[in-house]
Amino acid sequence: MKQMMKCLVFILAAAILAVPASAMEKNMVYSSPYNITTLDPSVSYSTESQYLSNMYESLLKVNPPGSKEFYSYVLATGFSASDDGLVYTFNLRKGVKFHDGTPFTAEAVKFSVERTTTIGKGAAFIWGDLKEVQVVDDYTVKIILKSPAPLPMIAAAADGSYIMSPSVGDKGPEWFNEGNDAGSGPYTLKSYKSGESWILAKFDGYWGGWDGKHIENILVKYTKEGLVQLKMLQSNEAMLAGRIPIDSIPKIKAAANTTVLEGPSYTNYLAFFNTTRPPLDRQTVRKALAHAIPYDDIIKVAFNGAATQARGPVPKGQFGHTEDVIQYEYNLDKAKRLLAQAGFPDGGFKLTLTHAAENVSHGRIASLIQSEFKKLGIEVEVKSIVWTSQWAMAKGDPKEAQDIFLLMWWPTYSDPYETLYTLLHNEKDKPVWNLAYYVNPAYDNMIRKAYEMTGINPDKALDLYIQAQNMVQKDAPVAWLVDKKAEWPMNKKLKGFVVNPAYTATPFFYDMYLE
Amino acid sequence: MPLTLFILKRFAGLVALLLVLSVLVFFFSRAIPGDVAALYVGGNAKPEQIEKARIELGLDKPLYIQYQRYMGRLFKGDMGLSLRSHRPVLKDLSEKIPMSMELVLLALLVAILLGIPVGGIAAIKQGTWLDEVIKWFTAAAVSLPIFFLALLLQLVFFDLLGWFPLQGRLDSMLEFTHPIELITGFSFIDSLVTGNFTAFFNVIWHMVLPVAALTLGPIGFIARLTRSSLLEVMNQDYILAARASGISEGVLYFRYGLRNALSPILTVIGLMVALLMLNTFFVEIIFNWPGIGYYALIAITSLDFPALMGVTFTIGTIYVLANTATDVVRRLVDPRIN
Repeated sequence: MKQMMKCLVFILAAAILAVPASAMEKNMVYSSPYNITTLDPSVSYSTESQYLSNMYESLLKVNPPGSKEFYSYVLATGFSASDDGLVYTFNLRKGVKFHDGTPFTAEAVKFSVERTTTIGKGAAFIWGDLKEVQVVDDYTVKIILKSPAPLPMIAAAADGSYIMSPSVGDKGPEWFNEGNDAGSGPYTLKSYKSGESWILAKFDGYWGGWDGKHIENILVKYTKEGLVQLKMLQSNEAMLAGRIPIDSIPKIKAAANTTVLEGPSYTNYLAFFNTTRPPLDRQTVRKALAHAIPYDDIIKVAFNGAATQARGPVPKGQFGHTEDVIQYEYNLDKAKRLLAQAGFPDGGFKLTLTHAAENVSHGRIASLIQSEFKKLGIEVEVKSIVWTSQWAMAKGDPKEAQDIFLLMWWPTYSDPYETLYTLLHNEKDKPVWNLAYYVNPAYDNMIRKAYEMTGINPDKALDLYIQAQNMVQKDAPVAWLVDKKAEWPMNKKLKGFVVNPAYTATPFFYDMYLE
Repeated sequence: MPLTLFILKRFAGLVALLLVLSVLVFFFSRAIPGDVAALYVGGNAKPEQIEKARIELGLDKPLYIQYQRYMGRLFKGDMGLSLRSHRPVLKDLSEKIPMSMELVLLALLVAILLGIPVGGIAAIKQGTWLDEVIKWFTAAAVSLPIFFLALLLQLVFFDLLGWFPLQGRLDSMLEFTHPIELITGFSFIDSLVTGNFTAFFNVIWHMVLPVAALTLGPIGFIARLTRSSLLEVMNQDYILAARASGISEGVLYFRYGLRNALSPILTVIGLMVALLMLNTFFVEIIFNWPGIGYYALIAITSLDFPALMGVTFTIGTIYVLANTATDVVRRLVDPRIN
């Protein structure tokens, strides 16, 4: 019995001390609130792009703002466009292998784009202007379009642009969702426990090589609760966390072992005004309200300073953003004057505002707006509803819908067209994302023209985008609140993390290392 | 009634219950405003895609047809695809149920092993200070809300003392060095049969706080019940007669008393399984334990109806099975029950 006890104590001690120190430098734990919906790279269009972007590669990658070059070449080594902007020729990288050993050639590009468009789910819409993909030779591929589109940006999109091994054949999403991958990226999916944890492990044959400092294995621990993420970070169990409670950010910044990495992001927060219903169907009233929003207080209270006031729909750093776009500043006097002009000198009307209950920042924005509007004699009824229900209600009859709808938005690719089109184009009688229910045919035409021009004449395109944005700003169907900064709570030992707003919330593990 | 007939009747009851549950959950969950097709497509889905998904998922059909289709597939053993994980719900459940059951069964075992003796001691020492202490302890154990208790345990044993881990069922680093091979889904069994002792002890270490949070209430409950049931039995005439004939107190309590006092306790144990299943929802969320409660939470917040139906069926079935098993055991222990 004594022997057994001794043995037990020994094993217990060994179990607790089992982790070798060297394992810690090459391995890291990421406590992530971002779950996996699908592992199929053709279908994926949700938070799992964080992981897929580390397993799959695209032809190009958009560099963070401020870089010398707009693109990095990943699976392509160069490209050229025909004068009419309809044919793009890509030269492909040699010596690249997929995780299953299949060599990367032009066939893989054709296979991947065709698979994604045929399935037609997820972000497949980015290839909407595609006519066909032609294999010229093993390392040259031609992509032909039906109408001009900024194809390089599409080929560098955060979702829908992944190139996968042709050995996938006709395997469907089920095969991927069992935990398989077919990428060429630095990491391969070593294990997958759905809704629990998954391990991304170094792919030895990665074309970029493994010289220098890198992390070899990443355990992603799916952690829904922000408080648990916080504790995992504080106790050095996790090196990186996804989203901790806002009010804990200062604590994490001040601690000896942890910090918060800030960077640009294309995520923005906005408030749709219901343009179909009085009194917000009147431009002057909407303008007045845009002046009554306390932008600075929102930045301070709802984001702890990690945001800047938005200037129009296109976030800072993205193509299409300039200082020439009109911005509404907080000015209650101006708001009062405008309201008086519209026949509401003392306010006297009631508005309903809906927001996603699970978004803490939304809740705080709603209260701030409520108290400012009160100063104008406008009563705001705040309805805090889970996102899915809030959105479903807004998609119903606009006349019955809310007056103000708060939204957090991020684009799929770096071209401004997606945001400008999706949020503001005429959706006729079936609203989905244009929850201002805004209709302006001149605007619709102008952004389409700009989109087609981007690949051929970017200066002209930019000019059109500015005009279109100012057209919207004069109408004020939406109050653009803030461009949110990306915030990554992490251990101070973690280095090399580059925040890239073109890939919202994607940590590229290959750049990182532990000190 | 013969035992087999009794069990058959119970199974018929189970099927009826599941049918009623399926109607309730199916129609109520769809009364919540939410666009399932849009959720299925994910991200900033475009209108055309949402429409396509609506047709693919059959959501364009009237509700009763959707229900008919669902039930038709269910009888073939197909619970559909989870909207959240895009995997068969049955596969998801087959991984999640064992993880919850290992917490529930262990908590139940601890509750029985501790609750009955504690209650027995209180009965024997009736009226003494020990009885008073046990009374206070069990009252506290029964009345503490489970989420509060779980957070309290976490605060004391992780934050302050650092004795037990914060969350999960295995140290993160062991996931790299000693991963558990999936066989039964019960992590402590899987690690044991594969000879992965490092992981085995680590799993046990991780189970201490969640099991403690789960078991404390049932311990209190069983102890209180054992005490009162035993006292009642001990006042019966036949015990008095036995005592008069000079049988020792120990034999009296444990051989004659406890055996007869067990029946109500066994009834409660069946209910206890149901209660533990419910409580494990809170415990799993607080301790990040990837069982069915955690799965249900994700399903609810993302309006994952197929998963939600699957969870309902599972909990309903476990509830009925636990009660049936209890009744069978009661009949075996006490032949008077018919």
